Amino acid sequence: MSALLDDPDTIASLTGGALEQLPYPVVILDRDLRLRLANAEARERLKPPSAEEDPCPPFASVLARSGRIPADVRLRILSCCGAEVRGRNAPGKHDAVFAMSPGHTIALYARPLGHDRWMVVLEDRRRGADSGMAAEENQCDTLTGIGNRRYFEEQLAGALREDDPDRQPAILVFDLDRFRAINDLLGRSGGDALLRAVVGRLRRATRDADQLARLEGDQFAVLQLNGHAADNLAARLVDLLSRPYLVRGEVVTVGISLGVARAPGDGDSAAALLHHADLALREAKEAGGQTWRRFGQSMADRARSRLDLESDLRKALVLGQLTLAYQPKVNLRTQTVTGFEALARWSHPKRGLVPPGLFIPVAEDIGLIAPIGDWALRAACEDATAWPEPLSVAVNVSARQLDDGRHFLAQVVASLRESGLPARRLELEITESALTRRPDEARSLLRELHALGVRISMDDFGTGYSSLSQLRTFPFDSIKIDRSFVSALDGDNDAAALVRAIATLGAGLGMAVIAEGVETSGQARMVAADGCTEIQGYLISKPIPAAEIRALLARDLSVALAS
Amino acid sequence: MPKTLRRLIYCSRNAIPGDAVAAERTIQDIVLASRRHNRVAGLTGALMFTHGCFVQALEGPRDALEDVFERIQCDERHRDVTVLTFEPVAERAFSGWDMEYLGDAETAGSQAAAAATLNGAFRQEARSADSVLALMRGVVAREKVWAGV
Repeated sequence: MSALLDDPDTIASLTGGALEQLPYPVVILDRDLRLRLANAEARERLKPPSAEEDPCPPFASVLARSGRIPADVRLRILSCCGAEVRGRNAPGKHDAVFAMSPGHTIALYARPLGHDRWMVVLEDRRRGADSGMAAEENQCDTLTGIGNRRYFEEQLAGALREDDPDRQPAILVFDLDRFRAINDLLGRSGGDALLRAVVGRLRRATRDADQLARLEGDQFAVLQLNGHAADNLAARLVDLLSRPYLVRGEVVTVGISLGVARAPGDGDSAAALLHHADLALREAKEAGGQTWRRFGQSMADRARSRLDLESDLRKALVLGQLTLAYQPKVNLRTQTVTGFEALARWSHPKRGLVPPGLFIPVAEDIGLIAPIGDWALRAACEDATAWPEPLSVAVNVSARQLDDGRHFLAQVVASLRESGLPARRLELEITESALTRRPDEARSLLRELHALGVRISMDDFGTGYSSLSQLRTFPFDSIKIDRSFVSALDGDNDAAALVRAIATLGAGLGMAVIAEGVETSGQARMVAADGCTEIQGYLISKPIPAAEIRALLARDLSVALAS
Repeated sequence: MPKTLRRLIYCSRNAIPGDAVAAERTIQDIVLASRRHNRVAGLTGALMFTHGCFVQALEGPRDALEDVFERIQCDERHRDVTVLTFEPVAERAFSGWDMEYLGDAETAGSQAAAAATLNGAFRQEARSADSVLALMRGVVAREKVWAGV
């Protein structure tokens, strides 16, 4: 028997030689939950320290050292042993079964032996024989020990086949908010440790009958065979799993976003339920995260209409439904038009005029913004050749277009060559936020464009996170002050101070300063007094079709400016 | 690093259902359970309950602290768990205490200070971990004097 035996006569007489031979781990603990004896199987599995190292090590540290049992299961094993040792209830009342992974549980039996000793048996229970083991390998998430997507889909499909009206399975799907940023902070193995801690809390918060799975990355799912209380579990999970974690010595705060879908109302197939829970999760995420949503038909309707919009938008370019409208910019000193900003318009036969605020973000999401940008660039250059010298055309450039700088540069060169528009009459408007993603690449691209003679303008200045050094190191010819500052001018001294500061800054750096969104002559006078050189906005004109430009150029603008 | 000594201090708000008597009884159970567990896991510390809030200091090996913190976080008898510090320390401040309990009786002389310290702690003000630690050590020291230790 083991060298750990502290009182050979007593123990041996109690257990006989059989203990050593048993095919599952058996340990004997004292009142302080210290390990006094481990049979061959327990020594093999738990690798306790030798008698010389520590004759009676704490069972807690033996379990921890073994590295085979998740922390939450370890704590539950210890609390069962502790309860048995304290003799709160009749012997055996604290026996328990712990779920380790799909098809794998540990059954615990603890019994008093007398003489201040307790016997604890830990029995591995695995579903099926060797074939079952192989299936388990395919269905188990090796990182966390819970099921994987395949396992979850099978369990869910099985639950939906049971035709029991009282049992209405529910699924809860959740992911971590900002997990990527946390992974970057902690490193890959720290991120994995966090995912294991999340699963530890998930196990504690759920019942053994609930099926758990990691679907992918940081996305998890729970299947409740009887989902009447799924909403309660959702609220509990958001509370418990969003509490701070201690991982590798760091305090980590992460929220979860969760979606709930229940059969049969929210879907009667595994695919439909998972899809709908995912839609609910997206809604929770869009609401700011760290919350949960129950699937509702309106979510499916919104998803449907969004898909329709995407499909229509994909066709819009080839069907010629996109056009450009032009809004003039006026020099405040000369009171003449200096150029026009090209703005995309989508006119759909059934939808009517779709506002750019609605379709541009969709185009960005589905990768259509670059083709639309290419088209706008060509069309604007062509239109502008019909205008008198030296009127310029300004085209908006999205962050996505800057991502593929070579392609964009080639498009600019081709548009100028094919239209015959001189480079100095083309202006590219770039927002601050487009520059922040990869500033070095953006800077060298803009310098190349500038060297061609193209003018560069910083759009929506004051709304992003650009630093003053960006103004200096990027080749900007002009700054456009965001319309929100201009509309705040009436009665807001802070806005006026900011406009004045930006105008002074631009003048000092030799840049033109354009105030956007000027709607009244009062605003025009104020931005002029603050040092802006040009204005754009409804005071002069709304965006107009190319065909109306000649008529606009014939107008006397001093009337509008003086009124 | 996992073997180095660390100190964890957090504060949280009481969410024990029922009245003050129920709370006091539950807290005694928590203290007893945590003493048993801490003895086995090599942890020492103190738990203070005042103004409806818990403040707990725990010291020991990093892994043991991370394990026990998971159990603490899953306990629905409190909420708004705010970690004030989780730093390596040179020595234990509560050596000899599996889990010293500082309730209203013990903190009676420090009620005003305790309230102010707690307010700062939930707002995670700078140095609030130090103030909380000083407050707890002060109460423990007074306890020892009274007990003639």
